[in-house]
Amino acid sequence: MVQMSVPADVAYVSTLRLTAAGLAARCDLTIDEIEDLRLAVDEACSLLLPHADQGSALHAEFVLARGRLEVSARVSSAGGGELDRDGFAWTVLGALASSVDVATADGSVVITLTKRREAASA
Amino acid sequence: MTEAEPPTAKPDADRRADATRMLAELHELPAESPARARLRDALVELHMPLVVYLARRFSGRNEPMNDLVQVGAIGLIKAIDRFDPSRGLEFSTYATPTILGEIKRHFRDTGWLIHVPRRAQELQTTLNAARADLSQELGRAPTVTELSARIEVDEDAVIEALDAARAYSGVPLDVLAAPGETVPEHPMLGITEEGYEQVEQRALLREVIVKLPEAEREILLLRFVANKTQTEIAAIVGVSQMQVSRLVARGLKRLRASLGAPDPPAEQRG
Repeated sequence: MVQMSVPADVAYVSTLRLTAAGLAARCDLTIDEIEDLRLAVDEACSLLLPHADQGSALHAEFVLARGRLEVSARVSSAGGGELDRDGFAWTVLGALASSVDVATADGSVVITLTKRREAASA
Repeated sequence: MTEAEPPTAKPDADRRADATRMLAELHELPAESPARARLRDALVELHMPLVVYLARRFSGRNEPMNDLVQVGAIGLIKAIDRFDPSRGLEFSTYATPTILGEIKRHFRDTGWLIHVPRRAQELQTTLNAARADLSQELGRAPTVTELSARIEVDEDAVIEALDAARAYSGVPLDVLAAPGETVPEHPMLGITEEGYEQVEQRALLREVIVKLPEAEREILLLRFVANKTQTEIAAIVGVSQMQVSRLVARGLKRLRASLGAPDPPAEQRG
């Protein structure tokens, strides 16, 4: 597992995205899937960041497996943080990740997304 | 990249309900019906904000936004035509990968995005010039942000190109050989890996296969993936062997055309 924490700020999303892409390459995902994953990480962050407490951190966990990368992004949110599921960000995240899961607990919101290597028939 | 989106970029529940109703209606209508064309136009217009949203995701890559929106719209139209309302999937979820696929293909056709090594290579010249200029202006080496601002390419791409630069200036190992040594014979050196080309072609092929009419796709898969004979396929699909033969020929022709490959000289035209 790889963990990283960055300030919960838009400026650091690209770091997360690059890390995800780099790790995805190790998991043997295709270039297209890596591209999807980058976008999905972007969307997950843009869903989370509006809910993050001022000056808090965005924690990311990456679980690597052959042909599969799981990314969890978590922010602490005093407001509880109901994610905007009507916007494009949610639609795009759902369409690009192989699976998405949202959990709210103990004053934090977590989005867990998985990108899997698809069978060649797509 | 991840700025808050303007409120207009939001598909509300009403819009979604509209889309569902219109798509159901559209798929009831015959292909040549003028009402169908009108519905299709309305659906395209309804979903253009999604296309713009997705296109904007790629706006840091030095391609005009209009072009991206336009190719994205082609993806949208394909999605509208192919969408099967009976499968109960949300249309925007269905359309997103199709629109993105079209945008990615545009980058691939113009030699960007997917073909990373080449893009990085193309960036090299610009990057090196900018690096030299900025170093002089600043009196120190530029940061990635400064480079990216100067050459108007996003930061990820700059980092990638810098990585590639390291590989670019790599010295071939046989330089290390003493004169007279036949180093290139060494198995570690100078092998052209044909696998890459194959992988690339397969990836391209996959895209176009998905776009074939269903009957042709199925028959091509049976023929070339499952390795069935035409007679076997005829029995499986329930058409004549002649029909299978025709579909195989037509499917292959279409694939060649989509890949921009010329017909083989032996094949009859028409």
